Amino acid sequence: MIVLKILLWIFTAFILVFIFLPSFYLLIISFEPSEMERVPKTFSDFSIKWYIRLFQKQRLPAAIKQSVVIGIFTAIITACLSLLSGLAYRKLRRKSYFLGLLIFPIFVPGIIVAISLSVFFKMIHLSASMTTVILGHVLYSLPFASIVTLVSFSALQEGVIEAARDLGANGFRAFKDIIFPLTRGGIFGGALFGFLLSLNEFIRAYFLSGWQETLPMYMFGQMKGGADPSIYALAGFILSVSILLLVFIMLYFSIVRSRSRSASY
Amino acid sequence: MPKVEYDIQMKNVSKEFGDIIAVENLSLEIQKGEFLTILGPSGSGKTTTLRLIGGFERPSEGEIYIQGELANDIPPNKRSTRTVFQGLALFTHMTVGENIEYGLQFKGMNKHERRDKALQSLTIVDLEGVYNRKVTTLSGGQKQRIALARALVTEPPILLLDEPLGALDEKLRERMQAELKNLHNKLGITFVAVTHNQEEALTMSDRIAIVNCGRLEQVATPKELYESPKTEFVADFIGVANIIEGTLFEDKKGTKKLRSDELEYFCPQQGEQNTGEKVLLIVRPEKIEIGKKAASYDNSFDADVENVLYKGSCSEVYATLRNGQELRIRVESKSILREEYAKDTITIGWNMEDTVLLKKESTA
Repeated sequence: MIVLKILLWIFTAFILVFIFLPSFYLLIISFEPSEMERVPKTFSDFSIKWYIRLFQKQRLPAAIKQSVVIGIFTAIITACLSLLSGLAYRKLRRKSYFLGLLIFPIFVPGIIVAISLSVFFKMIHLSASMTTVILGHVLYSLPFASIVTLVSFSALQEGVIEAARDLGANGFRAFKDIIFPLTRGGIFGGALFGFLLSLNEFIRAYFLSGWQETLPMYMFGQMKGGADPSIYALAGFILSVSILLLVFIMLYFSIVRSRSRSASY
Repeated sequence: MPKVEYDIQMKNVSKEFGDIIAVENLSLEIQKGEFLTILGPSGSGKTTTLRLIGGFERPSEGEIYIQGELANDIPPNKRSTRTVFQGLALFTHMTVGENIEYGLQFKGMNKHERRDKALQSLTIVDLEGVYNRKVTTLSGGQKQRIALARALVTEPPILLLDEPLGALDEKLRERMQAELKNLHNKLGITFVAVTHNQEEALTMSDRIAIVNCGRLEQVATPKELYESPKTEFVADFIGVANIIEGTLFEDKKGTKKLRSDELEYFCPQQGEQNTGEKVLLIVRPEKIEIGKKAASYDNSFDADVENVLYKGSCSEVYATLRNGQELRIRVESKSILREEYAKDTITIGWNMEDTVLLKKESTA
């Protein structure tokens, strides 16, 4: 049996390497000072030259700012919508149909959604701008955020809410005192999902964006147009930030989960 | 004589969930200050009935009056009832104190008043010193008391309890039964409990409402239910009963008798049943005598002993009459040692007035 366990560990390690190796490769070659795409020869060769060059770029700060702003708006709107769907989910008889409806957009290919939205917005005379990108990103991230939020809502025991009502709470107080504290994690998770998905999303942004490009659009442009290695510095930078955020989310979730998981009577 | 006040009146209440009729045409009046238990098997509609009283379900038909006021449209947070839920429904993200004080927030008390009342109610349920603990750290019995304290601290006139002792082990359950009864006597308010446990209901209640398939079978004191059941279900559900089915007739002397499988039994003479009707004769096990004395009773038969089960202070004798009718007889264990029981054939007997005669209802 121990042999099986070792094999499983090796397999897991292989999968993880397969997933992360390309990203880490970019991270490593971003420290190579010459214009060649290679791993730095020796330790002393490691340089942050391209990182410095990166932040001197003209269009980059604007693109970063655009992506972050769009990400925040997407996070807020998505969080609100998934909260509402959580509240609705509680009261519904045909829960699985509702869930299916929420998840459905995932199955439509991104480029089709992007193009249809672009045509649709033109039709209703909504010109391409940050707003249209946000709308596209909300549509994109809502199914994922909803899943996260609905998980915490389905762990919510109806009896506790009835108990609050029995003791005198109206609908709002029941939400504020009982529902919200117990589903906070799921709502925040939904928001985080919204932010992260939006930040990394390219195809919808490409079709729906106005004159200001987002970060993924900037990177795409750089790769197509032939760029200096600062693009690798950007990749390394994004990777590092993503990992930090991921660690943060996981810590937060595990704290919240242990608090509400001991919710058995 | 003082007029009886009713805290809860249910008039022809029905509740449907789609195709399922959970409660059917139920009319029940609960007296102020009494301890009434709604007793029935799983799926009988007893929990639904309690939820209707608490306001967590709206009646499909009929009216519910709480302290004289029509309550159909009143939501649970505006009703004067308090509920102790099955599964307790304690707020796990709050401490014990916060749980108990929750309801007091809506009564316009300040922080200190709430704290005092909460500490008081902890004393009433015999659980001091846990005010600051998180509820998740408590034992089952302690959580039970917290749920009680939380409901009682707002001093409701009516307390609803849904299977209050279900999750507790045997010994704890016995103790809690007595404590609940004491609490009821001390507080003097109306308790309405729901359970499927017969013994619990018989121990704690002033009256018991027996429900089956969403309908009320009978509501009476435990003694009345046992001695004078009004339906076959009640006779069978409460305690043990020998039920003999047959046809009612009158003999030459005009005495009412039951004919069942070639044997004739003397019946209670008073009754609404008519000759020729299908009836049930209910004979309680302890009303049957065994031995020499048995021959002197109205109904006296020879029977074959199938089994004798020792059950502590009482024992049960399973015997069969010559027509195959099986009977359960309860005797004191010490009398089994007597000679007559050692035989395979015994004489048994009972008085006709110690039995109950019911009309056999056609099963739907």
